[in-house]
Amino acid sequence: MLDEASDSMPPIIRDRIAILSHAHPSVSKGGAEIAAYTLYSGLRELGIDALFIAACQEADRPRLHLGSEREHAVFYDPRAYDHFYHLSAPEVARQVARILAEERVSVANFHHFLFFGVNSLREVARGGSVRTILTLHEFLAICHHHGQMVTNPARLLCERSSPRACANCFTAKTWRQFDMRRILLQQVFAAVHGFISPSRFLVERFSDWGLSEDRMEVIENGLRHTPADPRRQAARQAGAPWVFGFFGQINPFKGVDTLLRAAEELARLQRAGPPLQIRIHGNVIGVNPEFAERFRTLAETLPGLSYAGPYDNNSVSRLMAACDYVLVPSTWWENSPLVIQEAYAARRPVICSNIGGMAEKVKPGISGLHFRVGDPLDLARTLGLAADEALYAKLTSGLPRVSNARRMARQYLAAFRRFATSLPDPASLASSGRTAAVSRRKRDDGAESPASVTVDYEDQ
Amino acid sequence: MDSLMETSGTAGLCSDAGLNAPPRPREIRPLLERLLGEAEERLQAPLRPLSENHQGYLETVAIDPAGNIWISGWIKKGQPLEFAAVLVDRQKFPAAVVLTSYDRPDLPDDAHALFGVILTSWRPASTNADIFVFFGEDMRFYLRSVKPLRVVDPKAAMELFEGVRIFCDGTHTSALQRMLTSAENWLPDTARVAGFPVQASVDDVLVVPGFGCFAQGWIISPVKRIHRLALKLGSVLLHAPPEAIRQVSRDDLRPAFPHWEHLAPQAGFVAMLRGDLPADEVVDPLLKVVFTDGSSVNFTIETKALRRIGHSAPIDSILDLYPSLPFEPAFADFAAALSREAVATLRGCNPVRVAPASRAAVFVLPSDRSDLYLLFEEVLNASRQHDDPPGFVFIGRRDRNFAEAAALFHDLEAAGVRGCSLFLADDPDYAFYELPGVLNAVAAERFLFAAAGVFLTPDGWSAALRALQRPGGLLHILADCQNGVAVGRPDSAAQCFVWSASAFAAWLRQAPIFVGGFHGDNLLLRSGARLVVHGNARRSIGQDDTADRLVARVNAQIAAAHGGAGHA
Repeated sequence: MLDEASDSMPPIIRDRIAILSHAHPSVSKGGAEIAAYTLYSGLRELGIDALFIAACQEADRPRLHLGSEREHAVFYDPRAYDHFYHLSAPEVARQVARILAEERVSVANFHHFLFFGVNSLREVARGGSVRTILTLHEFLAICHHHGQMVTNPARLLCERSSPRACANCFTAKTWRQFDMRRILLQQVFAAVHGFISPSRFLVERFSDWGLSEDRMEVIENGLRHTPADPRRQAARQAGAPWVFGFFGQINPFKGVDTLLRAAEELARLQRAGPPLQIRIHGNVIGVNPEFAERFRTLAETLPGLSYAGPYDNNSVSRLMAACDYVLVPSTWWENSPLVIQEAYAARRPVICSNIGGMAEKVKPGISGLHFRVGDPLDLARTLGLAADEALYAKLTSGLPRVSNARRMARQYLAAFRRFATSLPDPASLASSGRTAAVSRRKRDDGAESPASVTVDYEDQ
Repeated sequence: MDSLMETSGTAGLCSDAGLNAPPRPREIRPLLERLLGEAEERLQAPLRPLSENHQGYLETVAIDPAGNIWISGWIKKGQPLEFAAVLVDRQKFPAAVVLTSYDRPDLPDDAHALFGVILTSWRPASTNADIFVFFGEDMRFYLRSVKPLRVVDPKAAMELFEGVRIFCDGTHTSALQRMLTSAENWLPDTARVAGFPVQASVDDVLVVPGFGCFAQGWIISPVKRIHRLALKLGSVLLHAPPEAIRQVSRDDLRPAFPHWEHLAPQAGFVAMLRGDLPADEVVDPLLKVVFTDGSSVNFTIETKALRRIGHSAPIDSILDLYPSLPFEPAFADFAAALSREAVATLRGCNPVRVAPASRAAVFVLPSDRSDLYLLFEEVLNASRQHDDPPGFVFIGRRDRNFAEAAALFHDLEAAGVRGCSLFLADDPDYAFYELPGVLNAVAAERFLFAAAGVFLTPDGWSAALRALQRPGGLLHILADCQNGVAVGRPDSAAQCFVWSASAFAAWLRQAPIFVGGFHGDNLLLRSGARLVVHGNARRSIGQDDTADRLVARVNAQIAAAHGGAGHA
């Protein structure tokens, strides 16, 4: 893992770098695309000649806003995409390769293979002139269930994948197809020069899956915008109600059901001291009518529970500052939820489920508290513990520094430099009966490019 | 069997009665034949239709499936109800007439209605012809046809008889009734005129062209004991020997027949009925239940009960009805019939796009959409990684994925992959047997074949492409890979191999056709060609091996009949 010293490393300025995202932030506000765009912004701020290439559905053209001529779109038809093996129409892969070739990109950092297809990774790797680095934001390569590693349909936490276990989750596919999926993705990944993950937890999961940890780097996602003076936002009035804020999509997967039941438990207990308030921010999306009705009813009737409505990303810092703690009660593993970094940036401790990337990012007793995942009574108990001035002071003083765009960019550049000397996974190549030879490529001006490698494959 | 015969009203079947029905008393057939003989002797008698000798009219005529002619009309009272006759319809025909009579309110007091049968070689040619039936001692009396003469469906004639039967005088009524219900008569739904209680239904008929069928249903016969079953499809009669009929309990019938509920334990039947059944005769199904006294009753089978094995019913479904089939002497014939059915499905592959390729890699497109994408990606990847790739030939099926397959094919060409061909097959499961036509169309000398769901490993691609470059008759088997472990056994060899097109075509001419397209190596390993087996060369994905149990046995039988056990 790169440390603080890497912040001062000089960036590589000879390479043209492309950041590829499965969506453009002007169309979609998911964590992966926001992280990718933050990195791109950070590279630009450092003076790096970076491109941003986003996959975009034809239907979203009217909503797409490319910020500059350095931003490109690869248009695709969502009907011509296979979500099992993650293969796009060959035309998409050719678009990607063409843009990279025309722009003379030498480093391509994919922040997803979704909609580009793993065949795009293959197409780029086949050219031999571009280093490919893949940033992993979830477990999609391992898990067909939206990359969450929870079972289908029971949504139990999945500890380890296997073709037969996966076939139990998706009975329309055979275990052999899941095995083929794994083989395909591992073959494609074998040609990738390196992997970046925002959490150690994800690195360990991919290591279990078969990716060598030597080829993986942990770099936290940076925030594009951070509060100007974080110290001012740490102030809290003694004796004031304790406000616990939830920020995100309001659905059971994000743990909102656990939150509602914890709120019911708190309302039942008549606790001494300043009251506890749970304030929920976000959109109610993709839930069944029963859940939506329950949520609305409780928000309107339960003491200590309120619904603040949807919010704009630009307001999150202000809204978090109006809370004492930020809640992340997700019932799935999570990787590196942006909301945790946003909470730290707003100088607010986090109370989260005790699993996955959440548990990694929140150090219990230092930057926040854990509760048992899916357990409303334990959450209620933890909220009660958190309502303590001394503990609050300790936790707010233990909050880590949040990465920003420039820092993130510096760390990525150091990783790119490290991966420049790495080869595709020799173990994978050996099992395929092929050997690899390395040669150095001469640039167009005749000089040797030390940071560039090409790989020639020979049959045994 | 004695217990079954003694059981009152049971639907038990008497296996000791053999296939021939016992003699039936009071048949009118001998009477008709005698009268016909008399009629032939009197053909030369002069015939004059004098008005004073006009005795009645023929109003309707119906011809039943057994060729009997049923008539209705009226005749003056006092005339005989059985006579030799000469029928005149532009020429003379000897005829024998047996009638029964009943009162009809529209007739004068000196006449009564008639219903009966004529035994004659005459057939109505025109409804407007003047038809005379002369009878009597000197053939001076006659019946005349109305104009137009109504030629009706035999069901209508039977319905008429059903309506008047109880009003007929008794002379020949019962005999005519028995004639309608005789074993030779295939009039539908004769239970209504049988005069005794019997009900039946056929729930399922699994048809196997060239073999017969398997039927299941139930029969409730409280009065008569059942002797045998027969089934008619189109013009073909199928028979069930007693040993091919099983009794099944039908407790579900108890509420429907509370008076006869003790028959429920033996009411159900499952039968294997044999006959040379062409596929185009699978129409108008009828069940005949023959009783020990020679009478029979026919029941119409609803056409929705018909299913054709291998088309609308999986072959394995026969085991649910008739689990002992693989162990019965008829099994060899059954297997042969299915193999012939498989041959009948081979109608060649329709070319969509053809590009010549002396070396062709032929892939059968998978039915799973995701696997389709994977196949085209793997082909593109292989074409990129290897110098001088072969032509790629794809065989698809007419399903909802074909449009997507065509788009992916177009994308492959757009990506610069040369020599691509696309074919459509009615049943790609049999693509192995359609290969000679496909290879001929692309002018291939050597070829790789990969069945649906087969994907080559990197080692497999290398081995296959080297084998395609190598001339000669060596047969290269690309064997399976399991969990990264090389599997050198040639199981399922026919699903992935490289060979010479001419050698394959020559071998295929004498190879059997296996049901479903594959049975182990399809006897490829017995082709006599020198073999090379490449392990770790392919992966087979798709549905787990829940091979149709019966298909496996059928194919083993086909292989055995061909002189080879094969590798299953």
